[in-house]
Amino acid sequence: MRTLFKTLFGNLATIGAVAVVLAAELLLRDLPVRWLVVPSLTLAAAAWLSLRP
Amino acid sequence: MHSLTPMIDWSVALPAFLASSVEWVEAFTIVLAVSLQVGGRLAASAAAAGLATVGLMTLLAGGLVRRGADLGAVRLVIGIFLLLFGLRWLGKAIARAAGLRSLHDEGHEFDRTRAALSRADRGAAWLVAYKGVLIEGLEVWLVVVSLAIGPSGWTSSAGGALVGLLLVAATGLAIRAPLARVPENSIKFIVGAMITGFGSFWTLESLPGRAGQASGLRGDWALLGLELFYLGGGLLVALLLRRFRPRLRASGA
Repeated sequence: MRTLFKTLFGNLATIGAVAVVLAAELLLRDLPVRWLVVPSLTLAAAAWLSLRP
Repeated sequence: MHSLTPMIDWSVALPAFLASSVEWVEAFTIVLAVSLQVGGRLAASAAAAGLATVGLMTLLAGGLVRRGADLGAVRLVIGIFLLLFGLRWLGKAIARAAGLRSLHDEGHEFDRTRAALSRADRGAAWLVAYKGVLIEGLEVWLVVVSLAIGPSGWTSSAGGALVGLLLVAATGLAIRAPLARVPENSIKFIVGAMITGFGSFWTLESLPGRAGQASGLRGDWALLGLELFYLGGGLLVALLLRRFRPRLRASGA
């Protein structure tokens, strides 16, 4: 069950990173600049996840 | 009568093929280790059972996705799943490229599985093979279903994964050894960038402005731009990490 959950959703850090990205998308939903800000934030999230053991 | 080419969306088929291929390579390593321990017939039956389970799940989920393919909510949910999956792959790929995490090695995985199987009876070995195919197949299922949006998405996505399976199975059966020469780490970097690109694309597209206005960048070029951004940006981050952080060779990571 734990393996299934991890396969589908990843660990808590991944879930948190995606939640932050989605929150940014919601906040910037009226602004075309979201197409630049959100990918940058997503890349930063990937970089942060890469530093985690 | 339709020709095959318009039915295939290569921007979907390629990531499905690459992502599934690396997962099938990992599943093959487990099945091969089991077959050497308890015989090819038992290992093949476990692999077939695992594949049948994944196939059934794909058919069921595919029907649901196709029914709701026009709904923004479905695209948003699928985009979130792709972000969850893609970010994990991209993060691990960056860590491997930066030397913060050991590279994935099929030869090592094969030896580890064989050592674990040395204490297992036939039933336990069958379960190891079945679970291996099921878990790796589950990741394939997630990618296939998530990419199967759009008029040709299902054919392209499932087709790409099926070609990956046939290619890995044929190569594996021919050489009867772990497919250690497949550049898994590089492929995982590319796939991580592609899946994350799809995730960003679908979530951004599914959340239009409050007034419903167009968001500016749209379509295939936006998707390609996102994928290239994550690939180039990921490589740059890996380079910077390699330069500025001490190498932490995590054992068993």
